[in-house]
Amino acid sequence: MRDEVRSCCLRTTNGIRRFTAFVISHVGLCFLVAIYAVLGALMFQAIEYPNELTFQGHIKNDTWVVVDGLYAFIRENVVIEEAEVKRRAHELLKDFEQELVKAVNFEGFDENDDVRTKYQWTFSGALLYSITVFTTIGYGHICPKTVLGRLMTIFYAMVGIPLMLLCLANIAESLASVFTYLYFKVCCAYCRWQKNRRRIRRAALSFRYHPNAAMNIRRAQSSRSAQRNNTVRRNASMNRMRNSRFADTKSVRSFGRYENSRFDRMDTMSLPGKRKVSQISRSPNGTMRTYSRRPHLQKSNTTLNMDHMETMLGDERKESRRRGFSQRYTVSQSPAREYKYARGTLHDDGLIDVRTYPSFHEVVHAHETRPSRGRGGRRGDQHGNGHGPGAGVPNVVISRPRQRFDEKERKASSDAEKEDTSAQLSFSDEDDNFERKGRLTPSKMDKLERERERERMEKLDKFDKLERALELRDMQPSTSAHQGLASAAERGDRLPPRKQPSLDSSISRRLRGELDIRSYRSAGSERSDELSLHSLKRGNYGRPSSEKMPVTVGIFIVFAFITGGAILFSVWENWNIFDGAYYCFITLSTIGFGDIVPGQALDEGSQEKLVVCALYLLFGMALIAMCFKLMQDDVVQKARWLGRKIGILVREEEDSSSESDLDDDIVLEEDEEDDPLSEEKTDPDKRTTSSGSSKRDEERYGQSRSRRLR
Amino acid sequence: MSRRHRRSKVTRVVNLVKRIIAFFFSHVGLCALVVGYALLGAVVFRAVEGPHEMRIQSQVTSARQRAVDVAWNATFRVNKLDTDQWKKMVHAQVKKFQKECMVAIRRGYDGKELGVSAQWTFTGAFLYSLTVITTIGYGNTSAKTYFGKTLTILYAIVGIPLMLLFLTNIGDVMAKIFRFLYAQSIRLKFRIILWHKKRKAAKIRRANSLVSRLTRGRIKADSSQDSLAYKTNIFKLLDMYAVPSGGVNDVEDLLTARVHLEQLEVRENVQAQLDSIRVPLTLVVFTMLAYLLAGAIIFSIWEKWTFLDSFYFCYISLTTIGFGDKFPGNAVGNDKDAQLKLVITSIYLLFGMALLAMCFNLAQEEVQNKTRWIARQFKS
Repeated sequence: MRDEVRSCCLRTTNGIRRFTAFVISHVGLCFLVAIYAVLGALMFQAIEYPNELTFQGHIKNDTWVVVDGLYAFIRENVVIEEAEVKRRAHELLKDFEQELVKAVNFEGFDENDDVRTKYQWTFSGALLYSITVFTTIGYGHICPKTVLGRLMTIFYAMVGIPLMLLCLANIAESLASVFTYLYFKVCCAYCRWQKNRRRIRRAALSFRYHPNAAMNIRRAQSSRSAQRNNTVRRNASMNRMRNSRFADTKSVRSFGRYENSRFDRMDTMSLPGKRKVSQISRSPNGTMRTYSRRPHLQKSNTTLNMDHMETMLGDERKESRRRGFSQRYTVSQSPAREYKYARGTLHDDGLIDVRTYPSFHEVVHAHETRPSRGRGGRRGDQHGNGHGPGAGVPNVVISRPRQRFDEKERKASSDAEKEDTSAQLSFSDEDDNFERKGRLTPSKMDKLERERERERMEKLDKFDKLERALELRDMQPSTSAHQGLASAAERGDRLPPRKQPSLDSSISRRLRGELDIRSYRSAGSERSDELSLHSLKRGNYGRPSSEKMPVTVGIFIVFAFITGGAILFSVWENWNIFDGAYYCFITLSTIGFGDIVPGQALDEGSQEKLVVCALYLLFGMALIAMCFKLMQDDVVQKARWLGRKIGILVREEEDSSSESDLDDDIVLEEDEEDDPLSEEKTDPDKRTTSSGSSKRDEERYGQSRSRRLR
Repeated sequence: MSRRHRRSKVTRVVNLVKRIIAFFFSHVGLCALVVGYALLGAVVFRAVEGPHEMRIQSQVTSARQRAVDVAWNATFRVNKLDTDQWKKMVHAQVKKFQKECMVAIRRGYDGKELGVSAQWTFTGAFLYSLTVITTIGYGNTSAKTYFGKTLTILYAIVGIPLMLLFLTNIGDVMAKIFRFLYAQSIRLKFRIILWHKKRKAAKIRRANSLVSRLTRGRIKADSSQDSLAYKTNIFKLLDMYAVPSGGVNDVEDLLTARVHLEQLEVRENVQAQLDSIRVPLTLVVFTMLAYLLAGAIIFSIWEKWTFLDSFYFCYISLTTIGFGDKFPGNAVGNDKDAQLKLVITSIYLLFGMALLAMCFNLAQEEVQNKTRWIARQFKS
């Protein structure tokens, strides 16, 4: 009995909880707003309609009042003086005018009312009224006249305005994603197609060279990639922006987008290691992963670059974390893919393959010859970079610089050693790596960071290469020269990417641990990322989740919406186009003069028009909110850039503030990334500053304003 | 030499420009910018819309004149005893006048007499530009010419972000001031408490010293026989069983130490509270409400509205709904008073928006915390 009661209670609480969750969701909020509007309409109609019945149509009487008043005046006076009569007539007519003005502006009076009185507070009118209240448009063409109505309006607005804001934010969120998706699906399809074609051609070209012809290819490749560097830099900045945009969606995590936000957050370059690591620990989680490969992919790219940089500098701190991350990732991937990837790059990029090829051989070799020396390798790993076979920088595979050949080999051998040890070992290895690097002195950080910036610029370039590699692989299924690994590759290939979480279990890890070549790990992760990305591109995810609309598109959408509204209303209401556009603008900016309002000119069918008008309002406001959302980061960034260019924004780093949100943080970072000139100057501050202050806010708003003015 | 000189001049000019731009984004500069922008809008809109309004007003005036003339002629010519005919004639004329008036109203006429008052006076235009950039949009005054409408759109595109920027800025500053004042008030409160405690402590000490003096006197006096007995008595009284000589001092010390401790506790308490100072939501809401009520009272006195009506006006204005059905300065025939009222209204609006921004700023954190708390409650 008691149990029953308890279960009943539990069920009800669960039901309530679910109900609340639903209410807070998109649909629920929209529903709530709609219901609120309808309720308000009913309430205001009930309050105001009886009152309106009493006074509506009073103009008809007022004309007679004027006439009668004048007649009475003339009648009373014994001597009729012209001036007196005229003065009186003027007065009466003036009063009449005032009444008329009031009636026209606030009581919906028009010429037809003389024939047949029309009432404002019908249901649709009241609906429009309640909508204008809680959207704060406030046309004022319908407004309450009774005391009770005014009181209720105050309370209605008190609840309704926050509700509407909440709903708008929500709708804007989903609309933004829809629009970005559409934009990148439809508008950019052509660009993508072109790019792909170019890439394929390039890949085919580079495939002609055999990896053994190392030197000349390398040279060619380097020059070409240098060129590409320049062109790609723009894209790189865009990418970063896009990533950071999702970082601020973290607040809406509960609305089911947290995959993006999480990964994108990861992607911001200078996150402290702790956070990153925690994210890593979360990351091998299959469902999330498929969704969010791409940012990670970029990440690993940078990792590669940076790894190399570090080896050269003998300093690696953040990178090591990142590397740990990518490594971990790779462990969950199948080694075969890594291998294939290596092959792909091999043909594709002379630079890379020179390095990769021999090391690969080495790996295979080592695998066969030196069965168990993993411990040593690990120990070596702890000793720092270039020393010993275990030098903890194995990911140097895809990197440009000289001086790496021997290193690579060394590493390869160490990797080979590691292969033989269990996966557990490799994991601990990573951890060691991480710890060791965390202890490094910060004195070298500046240098490193500068290097990193440069490398970051190149990351898209790398990505380019990877994609080419992928295409190459698609064209040329594994007919590899390295038969030793081919079988393993096939084995790995059979594992679909979805299953990877299960593979993350220790058993599977050990199973594949033998083949887990460290030097290819990161590469492998890229590889598999690339794979999944490809599949995702065909699916509905991939790009739209990570791309960002440019400002111009947002402006264009709003403009198109206003134009559409203008045409619609001009057809319906017999306004001219300009009046329609004016009405739409005034409405959507929530100014709402109310001098032009639809549904007044025509007697019949105006009810439906009011409803359509209400819908137009709601959707338009959501659209505007969406565009604001989309444009915000971009505008802010550009404004800041402008500010720095002008030289106003020098002091932006040193301010302290009360509110600290990640959005601002990221905005700041991305900003600095975009601006290599200011990088050195701001870098030390960047680490300390973690929040945007009001001052900077103003300034960037101000910049945005000034930018508009220009 | 000259080249360097010139360059230095150029850099100086550049620096000056930079400083000017930077100034514009400071607090004061933003205020000035918004007010200047509104003034500019006032001038421009008045220039654009003023003539149009005059034309419309003159049209209405002439129409009325015509109506009056017709009425007079009817009175003059027609036998005034013929009531029906007279009435019919005049009514027809009034109807005609109404029609003309309707046209004029549609084109922006709002019953203001030509030459006496106008919508597009300087203050009226200022208020108009203010309602545009704050998105209140009363609508009792609105641009009617095409040029004016286009200008309004452009003006809003620039002005609304500027106003938002200004509001966030001012809201921030005001929130800081408000927080500071609140902290000061709390500090004052605790200071008063501390002062009370101190006074109490001083009293105790005084009493204590008196006791000690007394005892010493007694000891001296009765040193012969019952000094020991008395001493023990006293120390029993004081719960002290220490060495008799230092005992009195010890007691004193103890008491003062206790008082000190109390003070310290209070001070710590104060410090803790000051560290985590957060203006409560109720106070914020109360401030806003007080502002609304003050506005309501002022307008109800000036405009002779009912209290609820003026409260309604203030509320509708500050939430930027802005119906415009109630508007100050409409009822007054005197132009000067109306202008004054417009100025006061615009100041009230501007300050009210800033205050609202401040309240949002203050309430934001609190509300966020509360919602998070609620969400956690739901989750668990």
